[in-house]
Amino acid sequence: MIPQKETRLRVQSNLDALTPLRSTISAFIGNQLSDIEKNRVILAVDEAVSNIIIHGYKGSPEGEIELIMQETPEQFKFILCDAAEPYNPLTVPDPDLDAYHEEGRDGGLGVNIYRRILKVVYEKAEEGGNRLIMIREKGDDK
Amino acid sequence: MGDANLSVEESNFEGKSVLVLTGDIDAKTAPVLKEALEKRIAAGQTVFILNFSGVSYISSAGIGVLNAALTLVKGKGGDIVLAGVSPVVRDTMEVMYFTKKIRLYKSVPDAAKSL
Repeated sequence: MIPQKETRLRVQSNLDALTPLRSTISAFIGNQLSDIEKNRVILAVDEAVSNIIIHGYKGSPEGEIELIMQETPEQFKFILCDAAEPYNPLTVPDPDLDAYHEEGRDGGLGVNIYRRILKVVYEKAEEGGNRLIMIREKGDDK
Repeated sequence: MGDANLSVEESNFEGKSVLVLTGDIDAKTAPVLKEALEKRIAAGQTVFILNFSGVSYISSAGIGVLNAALTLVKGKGGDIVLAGVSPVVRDTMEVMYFTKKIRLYKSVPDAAKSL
């Protein structure tokens, strides 16, 4: 389906990009989701971008990440494109959350979080790098 | 959304130390919170009230810092409690099951009473 609205944002792989990225997603969704549901979507994309910056580009600010946001009458779609080493987050096993909290771990939940919030599709980009497609059906709002 | 910074200010409520957090806690700013907590834990503090009323966003990086610090101080007989957590930030903590571990209170006086 052809998106009725599309916004593209290209950022450097720097954690300073997270705040403007969240603001852009918030503006794109507008008031179409409740505050809590909108925040969950923002959280999911933020976690994915943080992982690309920290793990994909290993903290180097030289990398680029493109976020393509699309809206159709049925869904919001967020496509993250990067040129980091191919990495399929869908292969990451779910953590034991009880053990995570009991043992006082301080990282490693990001992939689990965004997979639980959004439908996620991974594509290894033909030109190299990764495409992570994150979908939020509008009908899922509470 | 707040800006890219997180500030941590120390205050006091009826003799109990309160850390007042203002800003967003994400992968960029979580180290600020980590340093503030670790510095005080290293100095012997084991009980913390964190005033979250100025926090508009938290990601897994921030919850990871809180989770590690909470486990550390509980091992020393201490505790960390949160006050004034917004519904959105609370929801993120619920998504990560963190509300099963940490205690949240409506206000700093309520949090102080619990300790």
